[in-house]
Amino acid sequence: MEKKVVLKVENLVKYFPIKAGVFRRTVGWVKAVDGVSFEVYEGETLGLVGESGCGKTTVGMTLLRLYEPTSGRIIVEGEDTTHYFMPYLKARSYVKKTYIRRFENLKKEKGEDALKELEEPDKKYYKIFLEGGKRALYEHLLSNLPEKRRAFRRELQIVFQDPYSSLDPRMRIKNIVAEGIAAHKLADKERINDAVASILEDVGIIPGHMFRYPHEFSGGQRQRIGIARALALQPKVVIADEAVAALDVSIRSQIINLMEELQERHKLTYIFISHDLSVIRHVSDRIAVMYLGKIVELAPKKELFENPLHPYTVSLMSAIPIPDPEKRNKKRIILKGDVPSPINPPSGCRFHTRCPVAKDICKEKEPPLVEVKPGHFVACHFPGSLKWSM
Amino acid sequence: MEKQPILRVENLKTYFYTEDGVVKAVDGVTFDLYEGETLGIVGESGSGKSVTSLSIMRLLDEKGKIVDGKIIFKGKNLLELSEAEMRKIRGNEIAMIFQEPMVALNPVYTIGDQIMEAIMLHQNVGESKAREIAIDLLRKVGIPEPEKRVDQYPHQLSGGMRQRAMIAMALSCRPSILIADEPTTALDVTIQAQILDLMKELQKEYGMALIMITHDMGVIAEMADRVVVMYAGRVVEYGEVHEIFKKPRHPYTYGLLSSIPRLDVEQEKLKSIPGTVPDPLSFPSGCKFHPRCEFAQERCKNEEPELVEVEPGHFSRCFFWEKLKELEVK
Repeated sequence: MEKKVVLKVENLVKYFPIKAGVFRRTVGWVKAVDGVSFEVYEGETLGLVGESGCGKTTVGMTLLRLYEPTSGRIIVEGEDTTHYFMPYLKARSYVKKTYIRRFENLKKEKGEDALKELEEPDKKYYKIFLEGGKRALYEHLLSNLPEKRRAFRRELQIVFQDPYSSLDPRMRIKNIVAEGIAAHKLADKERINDAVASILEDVGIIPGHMFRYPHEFSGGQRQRIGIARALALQPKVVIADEAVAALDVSIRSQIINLMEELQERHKLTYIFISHDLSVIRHVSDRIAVMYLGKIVELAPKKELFENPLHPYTVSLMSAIPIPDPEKRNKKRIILKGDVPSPINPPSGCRFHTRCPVAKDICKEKEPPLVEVKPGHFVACHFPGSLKWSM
Repeated sequence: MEKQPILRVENLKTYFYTEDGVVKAVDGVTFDLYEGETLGIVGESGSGKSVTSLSIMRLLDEKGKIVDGKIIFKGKNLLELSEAEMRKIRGNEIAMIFQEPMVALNPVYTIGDQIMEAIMLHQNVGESKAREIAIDLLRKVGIPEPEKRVDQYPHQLSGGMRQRAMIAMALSCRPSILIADEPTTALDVTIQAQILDLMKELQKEYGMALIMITHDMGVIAEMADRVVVMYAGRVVEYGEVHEIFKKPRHPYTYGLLSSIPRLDVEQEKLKSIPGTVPDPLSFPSGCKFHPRCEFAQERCKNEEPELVEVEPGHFSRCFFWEKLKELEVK
């Protein structure tokens, strides 16, 4: 059965300028995310794992358009959404650059035959272009942007790491949860309280507590409220950015279980961002491992753990202390040094400075992310050369 | 052979007198630390694990008072020493490293200055000699180019390097006990692996006893010889590391162990401990864990269990520890 792609990211890049001097000139760029592509299927959990500075959070924030991407495409449910939050003229020039020019050439060269080689959503857009010319395509992509933005804001939601700073201390939790419902008119005014009550009940908060303030709740309960706020909008995709990292061990498992139950009940799609590979293993269907702004390996969970191919993935697995004293004398791979700065990432393969199996070519040539087995992608010149078993 | 403990904490009670009431952060904690061993103290936030270590060092702020108990180090009760006598022990015989090296290090002095300060204070050597020792130590903890690093400020080092510098400082006087309070919590896993490795190596070389305080069961399994499990200011279980992990005899330890996601095995659904960590201002009556305990009965609400020896060297604070025995058979 073909799985439905809800979210597709193509070559996503996000650079942050470094400004210095009296005139705040840009003197360099932090290359936080540097060419990341992946797909997320409906109803699955994609885990994004990596150490600090690998760009996992920036990916999440850029997907939500809390950061504007530097370049790349973000496709939600088969529609390009990249230009949604651009000023109108910029959006128009984006459409012109990305589609119109390319399609004009295609039409000249191949005419209708080009349809066969195009993928979605390009195929759909090309059809519109063939039928109605560029005006129709502009119309399709640029009309009703405010409306599209609203829908986008509803469909993608986030749960943050810190349940203390992500809830407004001066708002009752009823209002925290109801704010989005009201803004998107998902319930009549008179029925908002009922809607809030049922969502709170869903996440395990007593509905009778809806008039309390965040400080009256514990960390775990606050995280439940944060989840309720996200679910209130009936989103398609929920991005959980280190959603359990700040919680105590005994509370963490409650929240993980809750999120899994909610996923089943509401057919949610999750992007789970975490530095903790053990948590990622538990929650994810597929896992993407990031290092310095790139995806180095992406595979279904089982495949990744049985057959990790990138030396970084292998080192990461071996570095994690296993809660079993019998396994303490296992030999582990200890990486040398620190993660290099994303301002001046190493040449070639970005991992070569710490890689135990790096060769000369790794310094010079950057390995592309290639599919070595169905669904298993890896960016390494010598995949599988670092061996280690759990 | 009966070993003599190098440190004995006996019925330690540390209370904080706050405006909202008395916080019994540590309430009757007892354990021994033997020469050269690693003792892990594990617990969640508010369990009192950090306050226990600060009490040993006598580094509590003015609100915190040690109201009862003894801390016996090499035959002396540290709680009876004067501040001047304590200063000779602190940093010299018992050293400590903290979670956040950026906060623990002084930002306006170089790494070298801070290490040399301790050396000159405790070892009666001159400045140039102290500098030599400092450079040696930095090399020993795996800091590249120690001659250059010694003149750098904390902000010029990465998190892992700062923690190494902290370790160098702690080791400068060859302490017989090193207390490490969440030393790797703020670090990335690949850096954590480096630091844990380094600590093991140095412990072997220096022959010191290590108290490892953490919330991470993985780190405990990796490092500790014996484990103290704390909950709500009390020791709820205490024993040899294999015993604790294989045969937990307290429902809290059992719950904790079964609620962690594992990297090495595939789990269907995680077990979880219901409820939340209790508020230290109003701990529950009876057994502090009873509102969250799946084995709790009427008795647990009214009466607090004692720490009993369930097997030689293995203690549990639970009336119904035998029930966990049956569970394991299943």
